[in-house]
Amino acid sequence: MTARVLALLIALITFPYALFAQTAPAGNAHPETEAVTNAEQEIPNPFGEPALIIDDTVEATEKHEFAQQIDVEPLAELAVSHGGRVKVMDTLARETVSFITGKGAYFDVVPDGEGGREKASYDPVFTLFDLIIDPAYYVTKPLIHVNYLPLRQAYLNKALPDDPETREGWKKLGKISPLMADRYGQEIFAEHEFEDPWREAAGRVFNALQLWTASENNMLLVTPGDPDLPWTHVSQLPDGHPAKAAALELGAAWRALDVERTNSAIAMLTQELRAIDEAGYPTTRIGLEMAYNRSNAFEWGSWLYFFSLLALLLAFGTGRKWLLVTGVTTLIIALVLHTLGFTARSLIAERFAIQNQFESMTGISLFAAIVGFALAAFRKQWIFAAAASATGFLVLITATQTGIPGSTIEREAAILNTSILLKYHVTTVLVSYGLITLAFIVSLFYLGTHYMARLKTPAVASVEARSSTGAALSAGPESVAAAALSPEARPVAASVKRTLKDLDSAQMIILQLAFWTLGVGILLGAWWADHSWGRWWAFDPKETWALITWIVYLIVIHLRFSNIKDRGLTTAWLSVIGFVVMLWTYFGVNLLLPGLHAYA
Amino acid sequence: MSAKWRRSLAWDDAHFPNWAAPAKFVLRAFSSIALAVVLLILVALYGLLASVPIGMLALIPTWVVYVGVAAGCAFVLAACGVFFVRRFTSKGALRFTLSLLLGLVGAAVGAWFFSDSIWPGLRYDPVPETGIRFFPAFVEAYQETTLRRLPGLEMTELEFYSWWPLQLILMLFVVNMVTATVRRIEFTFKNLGVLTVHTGIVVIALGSVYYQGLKREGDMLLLSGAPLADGSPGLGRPERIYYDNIQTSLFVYQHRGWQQRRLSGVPRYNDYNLGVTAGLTASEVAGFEPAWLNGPDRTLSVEIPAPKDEAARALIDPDIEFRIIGYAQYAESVDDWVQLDPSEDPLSAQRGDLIPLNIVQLTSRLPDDDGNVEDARAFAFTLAPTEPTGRYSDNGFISVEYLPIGTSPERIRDLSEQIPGGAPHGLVIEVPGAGLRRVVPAQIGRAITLGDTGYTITVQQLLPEPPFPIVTEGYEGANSSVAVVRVSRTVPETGEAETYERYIYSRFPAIDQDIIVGGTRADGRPNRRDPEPGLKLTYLDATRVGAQFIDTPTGDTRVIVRGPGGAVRVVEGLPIEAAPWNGEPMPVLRDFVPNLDLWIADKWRHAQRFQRPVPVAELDRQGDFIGTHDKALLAVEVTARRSGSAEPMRRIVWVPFSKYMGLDPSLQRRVSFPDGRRVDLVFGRVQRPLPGFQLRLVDFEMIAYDNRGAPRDYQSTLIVEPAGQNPALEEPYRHVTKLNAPLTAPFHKDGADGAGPIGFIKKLFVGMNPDQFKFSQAGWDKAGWETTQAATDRGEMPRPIANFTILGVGNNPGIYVIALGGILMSVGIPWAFYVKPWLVRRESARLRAQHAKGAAEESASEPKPVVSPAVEEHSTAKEEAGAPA
Repeated sequence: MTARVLALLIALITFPYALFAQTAPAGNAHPETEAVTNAEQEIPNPFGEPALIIDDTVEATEKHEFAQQIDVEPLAELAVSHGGRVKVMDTLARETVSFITGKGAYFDVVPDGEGGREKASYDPVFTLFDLIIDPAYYVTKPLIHVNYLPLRQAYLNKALPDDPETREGWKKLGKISPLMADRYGQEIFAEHEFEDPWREAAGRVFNALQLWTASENNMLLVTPGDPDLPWTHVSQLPDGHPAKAAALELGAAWRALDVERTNSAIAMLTQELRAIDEAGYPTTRIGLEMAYNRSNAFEWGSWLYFFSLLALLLAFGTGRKWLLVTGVTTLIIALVLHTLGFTARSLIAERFAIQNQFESMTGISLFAAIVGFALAAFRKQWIFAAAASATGFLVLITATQTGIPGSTIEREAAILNTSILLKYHVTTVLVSYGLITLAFIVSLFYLGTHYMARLKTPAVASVEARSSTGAALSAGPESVAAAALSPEARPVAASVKRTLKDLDSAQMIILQLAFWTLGVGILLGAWWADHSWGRWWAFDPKETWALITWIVYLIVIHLRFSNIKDRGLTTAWLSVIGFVVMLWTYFGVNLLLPGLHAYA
Repeated sequence: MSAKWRRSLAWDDAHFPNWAAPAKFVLRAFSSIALAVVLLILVALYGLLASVPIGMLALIPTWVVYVGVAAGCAFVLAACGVFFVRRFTSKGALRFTLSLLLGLVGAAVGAWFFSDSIWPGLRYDPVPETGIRFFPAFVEAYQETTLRRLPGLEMTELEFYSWWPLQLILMLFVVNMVTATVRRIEFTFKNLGVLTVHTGIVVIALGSVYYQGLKREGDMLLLSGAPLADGSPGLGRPERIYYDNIQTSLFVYQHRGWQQRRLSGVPRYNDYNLGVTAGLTASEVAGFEPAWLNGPDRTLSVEIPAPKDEAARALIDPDIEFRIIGYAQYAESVDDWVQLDPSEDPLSAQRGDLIPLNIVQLTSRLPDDDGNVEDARAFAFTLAPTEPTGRYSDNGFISVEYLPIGTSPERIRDLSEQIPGGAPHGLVIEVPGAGLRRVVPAQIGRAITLGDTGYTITVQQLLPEPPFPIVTEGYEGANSSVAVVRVSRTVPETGEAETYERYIYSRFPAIDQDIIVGGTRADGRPNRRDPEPGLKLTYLDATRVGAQFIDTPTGDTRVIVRGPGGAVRVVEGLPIEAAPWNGEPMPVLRDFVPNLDLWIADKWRHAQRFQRPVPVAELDRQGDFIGTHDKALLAVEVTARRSGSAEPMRRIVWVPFSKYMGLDPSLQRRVSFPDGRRVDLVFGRVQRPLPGFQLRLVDFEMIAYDNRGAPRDYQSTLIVEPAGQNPALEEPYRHVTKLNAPLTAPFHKDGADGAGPIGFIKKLFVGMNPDQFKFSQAGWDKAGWETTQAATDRGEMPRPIANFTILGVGNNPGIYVIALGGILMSVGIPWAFYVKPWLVRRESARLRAQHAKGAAEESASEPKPVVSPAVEEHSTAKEEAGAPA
């Protein structure tokens, strides 16, 4: 009877309608995801239905040896339709593995043959296929990254209540197993469903779990031959189709850990898939995207910028010409690599790739570095080169290492695609942001010079650096800056006052350019808004903050006419403030304030 | 200081006597750059307050601490590195190199130390409330609330920016800029840049005043026509109306047409008076006291004036008045009942169609989360016995029903029958002519021969719901379990055999019917008829716990309770009890279901159903709908004069927002007065007519990226046609509107004004006309398109279609003036930054050369030290230009 009463109560809770019944909040559902392609009907696993018996799984050593012996390269170069565009399997695998594990690759722990254990890393393409073909292997493995620590602890406390040591080990790994996620997810979610960070993190785990269970839905590998039709699933090929048979054979061989059969099935599958529409298969695009993925241009670019910056700073400090040459040469290489990466991305995305946060950062740093390098080359003041390197390094390292949204190549929002005016607007604004960053770096030089000089006695501060070979060996910051401004022209070095004046002049050159480009960028945006949204100025937060940023520089320019005590110092501080305001306009407004520029 | 500014100062000193010193001060203030800087800072602060939630602003001190600690860690370790190097090395390249490297390493180690060791403890986590955060409660409460959203302001972004404080600041800035320009800057060729920029700003300001004064903005929805034979959509109906983006109206209808009453003072972001109702409500009787109902005591009282136009005023009786008394900013409508005084509704009382309402409560003695056991009101059933759809409540496990007064004793007797053997389904079979009456368990397929009456019945189906929706008038939407019984009999009159299927509704015997097997009517529909009177069948559904209440003619309440297993008991004389747990309530249900019972909380003679707002939980609100009224309800008090009384008749109704009036009739609300007058209300957006033209939708298409990727563009093919008494164009024309390719109408269609200067001038003039509108693609029927796309893929349709398109509508009067200002600014800045310094340098060089030449000539005669005023002025100008030294 108790059970019956409980049933009654449960039934009452879900009563279809009553006097003060409140409908279940729609937001209780997990966040929507497009990680797994929605299918109208259930799609069979193209590699055959896997056994989901944990006892059947293979040893980690066997799995790793198998992974090392098979050749997944042909699979990586397959074209697949996902997220609204055709991409290479390599990209899909990187995205999937990165989402699930929070890292670029899945790794396992295997015996090292000497009694110890070592990390064994897997190619993302292997991991993606292994998740589809042999998901049971991962049931108890630390697969799913949980970024929110309290949630991770909640999972581990429930899964390993009596084993603090193992729990600590899992906690450090930052991951949980699919079994834990599946078994305790609902329970934990129910306990914390009204707490934002928990909901967000739990939604992420749910999506990762979905990728583990249903990534086979993403195998839209069959080209339709007609651009109006969607790509289809391997399983939707007619029975007996060689590609379908090859996929089934691949699954069987993979599960049997048969290297030879697997390699031959991979070759067969890739060949048959390409043969479906040999002429229409996007071979060129595949090559380009593979090169883009492999080159990792933005990450390498950021480190090249860093070395360039280091070399230039050392050159300024030590007066070694070879360091200057090294720094400038490295900067040129970084610029070339950066430009190639940017161009490749634009070609792959079939658009000017500046339309999300990640892309705009790659754009900003590229434009700033180009302008900085041009100024350095034109004026022979290598401080601009150092500023260019610093901007390139700081912006690219932030873009590539901090999970900035938009690193995956997606289709752009339709509103962005249909206007050439937008390209001019966005590009101009991004150029101005880049210039603001450049100016900020120069202003930091100014502030460093100014305050370091004040730390010394006035007598010391005015001492001229001694050098007969162009080296500023006093190594004081003023001489570093002086050398940076003109190592050749000022062999005997300059006074702090003269150096500050030159630095002030340098920061003003950039700030004036930034002020102009930002103003023009805003006006172009107003033009576009009038054309597209019907109102030239709507006080959208992005517009407002772009205007505020511009006002900061407007103040800089006008304050220089007034009777302020130290124009250079005021300008340098306002440049720092302007940079911070620009950062808020650029990041804060997008991420924290609602508005029409959500895609920017 | 420029020479002109010196002249201006001298002029001030010469012309302002001492007593006019304040005026001089004001003039000098408006000539100063400092005032401009202050005003610009005020503009920036205004923008900050308008766009950033105050909860986020309260986070600033917290982040100062976070950043300070992080920077401190990096700085201290970097300084240690540098100090270490300087301590152990002498001056030179090595020292510099090591200082730089160790400084960088120190900073990196400091950053790592911060993120690894300090940040986890410093970072605030709202769930366990660990870490550091100043004003956490304030931050939490106002994390999405900008200043303009607070009660008392309730402004949209645009309204806030159009508010007088900012207008004043901007006006002062323009006055300041003009004054400073006139008094400080020489009107010379080299100063063309700054003069152009300042002129540009003035032009933009003037253009904006014109623009803002005449700006109209909204959107309109164009419906597709019925699909044609080839599957393409037909020509849509013409639309002349668009809806304003911001302003709202209350639309009221009495008997001749809709009257639009402009609303002002409607909130947007906060709830007001959520509990306001016209009287005692069923939820109050049931003890419904949610936190939000007793939340902030914010009231509202805003008049809704009648329109000024006489013809429009005449649409509503002049004594009927409307007033806003409440607002729910993001809520759902839920049904409730309000008690009416029957004497307040004499017409209903006269007609005898009062709506009685009985409130039955479920009490629970189950332990709560803490294990305490006490009687508690677990649930309330509001049952209107005279309404077939309102007299029962059923969740599949318990069914509570209040039978109407006048239910026949035979029916009550049938309902009180116990089903033999504890079966879940039973039939009461009666053949009045033969005096036969039986109660039998009903099982599908079971055949029963009714003695020698000639009837044989077979149970065909036992359905929890009707096999098709009930369409009988008054029963629409009602639900009941149904037994389908096949009956074979010999028709006594003809002696012929007949077979029919009887549909027996457990809850509504009045709509039982027979369908004759094997016969169809002339129109091909099944041959239905009322139940054949020779056989009476009653279906008893005992699949759930049931309680059927009935008021007897003597005023007592009787309850027929059917427990699990079909056991039946009848409780007589159930009283109304406000709080039965204070005494020992009469048992109704608890004999069958321990710890649960039912009791009557109240009985009303007359009640009316109404809808009240229930706020949606914060977490479940979609940001897109905040402040748009889309999910809002407005409480409107409607009063009318009562004949022979000073006290007016009063009704209160919560009206949900209709984005497009008339599109969803369920959003319309009606109030009825005792004197029989009725008024319909819609809370919507201000409707504005298009001046002299109208639009029709011909076709809509969503263009996707290849292979059905994401949408790439949306396009609506439109017809623009003349309309009204003063049509704005002569001939209709077609236009395809796409993203970033809007339609401009009615004066300037594509290329119609021709190219060249004449066309350009025409275009400029049209640009000043507030009746020239722009229509941008703004929304589409995603669901309709996707459904028909799927049907197309299945081969069921020739192509996908959309049922509607939404166009953004706006005029842009004076936009070219603003554009001119923008162009002036854009070209003026480079002149000021790059051309002027070059001119100054060139002139300085020329003067220097001239001076040198002069000096050389003079040195030949009599050398004397002279500083040319022109050189001095140019050196000042050079500084003013911000040019590099």
